[in-house]
Amino acid sequence: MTRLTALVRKEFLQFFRSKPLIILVVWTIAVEIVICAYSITYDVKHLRLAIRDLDDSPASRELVSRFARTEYFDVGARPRSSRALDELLETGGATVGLVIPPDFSRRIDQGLTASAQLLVDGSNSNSALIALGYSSRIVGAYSRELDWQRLRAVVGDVGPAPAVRNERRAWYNPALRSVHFEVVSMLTLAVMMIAVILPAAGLAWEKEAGTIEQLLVMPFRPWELMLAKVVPTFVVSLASLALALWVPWWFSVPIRGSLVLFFVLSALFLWSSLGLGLLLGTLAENLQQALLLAFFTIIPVLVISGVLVPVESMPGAIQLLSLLSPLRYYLEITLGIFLKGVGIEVLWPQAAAMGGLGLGILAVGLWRFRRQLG
Amino acid sequence: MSSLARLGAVARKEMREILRDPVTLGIAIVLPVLMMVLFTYAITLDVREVRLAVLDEDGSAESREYVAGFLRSGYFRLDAVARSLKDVDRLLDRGGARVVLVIPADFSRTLAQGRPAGVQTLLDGSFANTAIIALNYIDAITEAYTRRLQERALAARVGGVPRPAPAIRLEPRVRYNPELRSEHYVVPGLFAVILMAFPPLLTALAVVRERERGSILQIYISPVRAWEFLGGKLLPYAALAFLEMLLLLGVGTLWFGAPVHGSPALLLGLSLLYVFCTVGIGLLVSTVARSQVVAILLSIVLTLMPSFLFSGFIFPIDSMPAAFQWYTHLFPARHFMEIARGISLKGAGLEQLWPSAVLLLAYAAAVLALASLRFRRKSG
Repeated sequence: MTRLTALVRKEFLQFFRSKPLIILVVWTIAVEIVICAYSITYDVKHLRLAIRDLDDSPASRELVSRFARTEYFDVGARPRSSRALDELLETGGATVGLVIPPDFSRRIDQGLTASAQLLVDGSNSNSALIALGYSSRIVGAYSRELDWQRLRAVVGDVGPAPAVRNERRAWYNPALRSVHFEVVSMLTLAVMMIAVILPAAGLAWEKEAGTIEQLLVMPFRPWELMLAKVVPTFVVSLASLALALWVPWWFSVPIRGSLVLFFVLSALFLWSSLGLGLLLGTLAENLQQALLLAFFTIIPVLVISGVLVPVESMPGAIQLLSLLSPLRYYLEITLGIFLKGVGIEVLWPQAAAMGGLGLGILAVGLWRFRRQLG
Repeated sequence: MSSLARLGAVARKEMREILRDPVTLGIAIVLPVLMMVLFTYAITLDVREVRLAVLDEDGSAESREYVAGFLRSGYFRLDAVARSLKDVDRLLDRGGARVVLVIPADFSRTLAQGRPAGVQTLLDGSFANTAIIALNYIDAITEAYTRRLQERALAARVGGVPRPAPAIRLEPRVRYNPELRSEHYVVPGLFAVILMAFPPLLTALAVVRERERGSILQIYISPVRAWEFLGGKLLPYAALAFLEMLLLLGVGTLWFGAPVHGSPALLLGLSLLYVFCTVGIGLLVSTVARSQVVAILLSIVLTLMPSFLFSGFIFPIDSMPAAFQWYTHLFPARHFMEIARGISLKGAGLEQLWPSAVLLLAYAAAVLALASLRFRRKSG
C-alpha cells in the first residue's frame, strides 16, 4: 500500500510540474465553453434579404414590410438590376432575394393572382430550407388575408375562418436558448478530453523519456502502476469538473437534478475515458503519436455522440455506432440531470450502458498495459 | 553551397523522416479521409425523424388528418401514443419523445363551428436546436392544414359562387444547390477544416521535436540560415498537405458526388495558397513552443478549434454577435471556406473571390515572415 501511495504521489508531482497540462485543463474547461456559449448558435435568423420592388405600390411595400418585421430577415440591399441581384447572391451579399414584378398590385386589384419571385442561395441547404419555410408562411398569411377580403367583397359576411392555432410550450428550457445545450455538451466534452489525453500523454511521455524502464525494474505490479497512472487524473478531472460548475451558473443554466448523482455518474463515465486514454498510451510510442491518436479518436466520438448534431438525424449505421459511445450516454445523463431534473429512476438505462462500456474499455486498456509492461 | 541547395538539403532530410515514420504518415493521409467520410455522413444539418408522441383526446377524423400531416412530412416519426398527461410527462422525461402533440377533446367541434381550435405542442427544450427547427416544421404543417380547412369551408359556404383565385403566389427558385443536399455544403467546408487540422500540427511538431531532442543545435551551428531551415521544413509539409487536399477532393467528388461548378484549377491553386497559411501557422507555433505538448496545445487553440467554430463551417457567421463576426476574420479558415464553397457550389471565379484570395496571400506572407523573424532571433 505504501508503494502505491508513493507511486500516486509521484504522478501527482509530475502532473503539477508540467504547467502546459494544467493550462490544457483550465483552457479546455473554461475558455472553450465560454466562447462557444457566447457565439455559437444554430438558429437561422437575420438572413440577408435583397429586395427588387419593381411595383413600388402600397401592396408591394406591405409585403416587404412583413418580411422586414420578422427577426428572420434583415432587409439590406436594393439592387437595381437582376444582374446586380445575381451578383449579390453569388458573393454572399444576400442569401435571399425577393423580386416583386411591376404588375403586382394591378393583378391583386383585378382579382387575379399576383406572383412574387423568391431567389434562395441553396448552398447551405439548412438555412435555405428554413428561409423557404419562413417566406412561404409570410406570403401565405398575407395572401389569405387578401383572399378573405375579396370574398367579403363578393358575398358579404362569410363569418369567421376556421383555423388551427398551435400553442407551443417548451419544457425544461422555455425560452429555447441554445446556450443551455451548448454549455452542457461542452462540459461533457471537456471532461472526456482531459480524461483521455492525460493518461495517454503521461504513459507515452514516460516511454519517450525512458523513465518507464525505471518503473519496470521496481517491485510494482502492473495493476499498481496502472492505478497510479489513473488515480491522479481521476481526481484532477473530478476536481476541475467541480470548479467548472461556475460556467453553467454564469450562463444561468439550471441544475434541476441532484448534483451528487451527477458526480457519481461522472465518475462512472471517467473510467471509460481513462481506459481509452491508457489504451492509446500503450499504442503510441512517443508523446506526439499519443496526442495525435487521442485527438483523432475524440473527434469522431464527439461527432457520433450527438454533441454537434442530434443522433436521431444521423444515418442508421452511425446511430448504431453511437450506441458504443459512452459520451452519448453521458450527454443524455447530464442533460437529464441539469435541464430536466430527472433522477436515477429515469437514467438507469444510460448509466448501465455507460458503466458496461466503461468496464469493457478499461479491461482492454488494462490487458494491453499488462502485456506491454508485464 | 548555395542557399537553395541548403534549403533543398533540409527538405530532403525532412522528407526522409516523414517517410520513415509510418504513424505520422498514416495520420497525415488516412485520418483526413476518415474524418471527411464520418463528418459528411454524420453532419446532416436538417433535423429528420424527430420522435413524436400524440395525445389525441378528440379522436375524430379531423384530428387524425392533422396528425397525418405530421407523419407525411417525413420530419416526424410517431414513436408513442400517450393516453394521459402523465404519460406525456414520462415520455418527455425519458427522452421517449422530443415533441408531444396534445389535441383537446373539443378540437373537431370547435372547427365545425368555424372557430380557431387550439392545439398544444410540448417540446423537449433541452435539445434547443432540434426544438427550434422542429417548431418551424410544426408551423408549416399547421399552416398547410389551416389552408386546407379554410378552402373547404369556403367551398361549403359560398356554394355556387366561383371562388376567387389566391391573391399572391410565391415562386421560389433555389440556386446553386437546387436539391438542397447538405453534403454538397459540408464537403467543401471540410476542405477548409481538415487542411487546418492536420498540417499545422505535424509541422509544428517536426520542428519542436528537433528542439526537444537537441538536434536543432546542429542546425544553429551549421551554415543553414533561418529562412532556409524554415523553407526546408515548409516545403515537404506543404506538399503533404496538398496531397491531402487532392485526396479530399477525390473522395468528396467521386464518393459523395459533391460538385465543382467552377474551375478545379483555381480551387487547387488557391488551396495551395491556403496550405502555405496553415503550414506557416505550424512553423510560427514551433518558434514559440518549447515542448511538443505546448506545440500541440497552441496548434489546437490557433487552428483546429477556430477553423471548426469560427469559419462558418456549421455555425452561421451571420447569426453570431457582431464582435465575434469580426473575430472570425482573424482566422484564414473563414476565407478559404468562402473560396471553396464559392468555387464548388456557385462556380465563382477570381473576379468574385479576389478579396478572400488577397487576404489569404497577406496572411501567408505575414505568418511566414513572423516565423522566420522569431526563429532568427532565437537562433542568433
